[in-house]
Amino acid sequence: METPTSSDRPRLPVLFGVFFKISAVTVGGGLTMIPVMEREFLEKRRWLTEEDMIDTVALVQSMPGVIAVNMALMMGYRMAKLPGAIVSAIAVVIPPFLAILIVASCFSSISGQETVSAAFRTVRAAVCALILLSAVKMGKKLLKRAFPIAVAVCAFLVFVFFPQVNAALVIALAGAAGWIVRTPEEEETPRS
Amino acid sequence: MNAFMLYLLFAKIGLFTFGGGYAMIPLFQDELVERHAFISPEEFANMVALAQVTPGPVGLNAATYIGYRQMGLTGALAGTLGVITPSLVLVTLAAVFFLAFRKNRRIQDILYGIRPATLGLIAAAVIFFAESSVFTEKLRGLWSDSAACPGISWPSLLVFLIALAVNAGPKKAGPVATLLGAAILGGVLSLFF
Repeated sequence: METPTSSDRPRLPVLFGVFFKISAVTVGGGLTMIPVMEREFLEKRRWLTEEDMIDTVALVQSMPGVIAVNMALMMGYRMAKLPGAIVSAIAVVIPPFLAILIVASCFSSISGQETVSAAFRTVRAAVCALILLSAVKMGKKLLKRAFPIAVAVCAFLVFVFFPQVNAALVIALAGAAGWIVRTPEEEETPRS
Repeated sequence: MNAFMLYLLFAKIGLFTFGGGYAMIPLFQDELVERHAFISPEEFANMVALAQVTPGPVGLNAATYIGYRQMGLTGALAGTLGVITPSLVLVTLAAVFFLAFRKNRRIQDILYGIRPATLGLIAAAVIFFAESSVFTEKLRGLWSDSAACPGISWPSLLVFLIALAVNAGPKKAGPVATLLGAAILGGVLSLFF
C-alpha cells in the first residue's frame, strides 16, 4: 500500500463498514480500535503494515481531540486519501450519535443497571485480552534490539506509574532519542 | 446560547484536549458544568456513566448528549460537529505531511524511537483495562500499599482467558465476535455471581 490511487475507490465502502462496526462494538473508543483495525486492514486485506498501524497510533495520541475520530481520519487518509478520511470519520460518528439520541430521548434520567455494568466489565476484560495480543504481535516485530526494548520499557513504566504525563511529551522524547541513535542500517525500510 | 455558539464551545474543547477519552472529561466539566451550567454535576456524572455503556468514544457521547439536552437534535448535531472540527483540520493536515515525508531518512530515525514508545503506551493500556475488569482495584497500589492484594472478578478473569484462547491461535474468533460474546457471557454470568 504505497500511494492510494483511483483504483482504491472500492475501498471507501469497506472503510465505512469497518469504522462503523468498530464504533458500534467498541465501548470507550481509542486503543480498543487497534485489534479490530489489525484484523480488518492487516490480516484480512493487507492494506497496511504493522509499522503503518503503530505510526498512526503515535501520531494520533499526540494530537488534540477524540482519539477514535483522529484514528479514523488518519487511517482513512492513509488508505484512500481525503475521501477515505471523511468517510471513515463519518462512520465513526454515526453509531454513538444515534445511541445517545435514542437513550437521551427515551430516558429522562440515566442510571447504571446491574446486569449492564457487569456485561461491560467482562467486555473490558475481553478488550484487555485483545490489546494484549496486539501488543505482543507488535512487540515481536519491533523489539529486536536493545534501543527499542529500552524505549518501550521506559515508556511503559512512565505511562503506568505517571498516567498524568502527557503522551505527546513521551512520544516527542522518544522521537528525539531515535534522532540521536539513528536507525541501524539493516533495519532501514527499503526505498521505492 | 444559539447553535453556533454551542458549536464553537465544543470546537474549543476538541482543540484543547489531548489524550482523548477520559482526558477530555475535566475540560467538559469545566466548561459545561461550572462555567456555563448547562447541566448539573449529578447529570454530568450520569452522562459519563452512560458514555461508558453506549458505543463509541466518550468525547463524542458527551458532546452529543449535552448538545441534545441544550437544544434537541440541532444541539446534538452542533455539539458533535464542533468537537470533531479541529481534528478534521489538524489530523488531515498531519496525515498529508506524514505521508509526504515518512520516507525521509531523518523521519525514519525519529520513528525508530517513537514506535517502541507507542508500544509501551499500548502495553500500559492493557494494565488500565485489567484494573477495571479482571481486577477490582488498582494494581499500581501494590507498590505503595503492600498490605492490599487486588480483588479478582472471576467472571472477568474467565472471559479474559477465553478471549485470549480463541484469538491466540492461527484460527481466530476475531475482535467483533469476541466482544459480543464477552457481553453476552458477562450478562449471563452476572445472574450467578
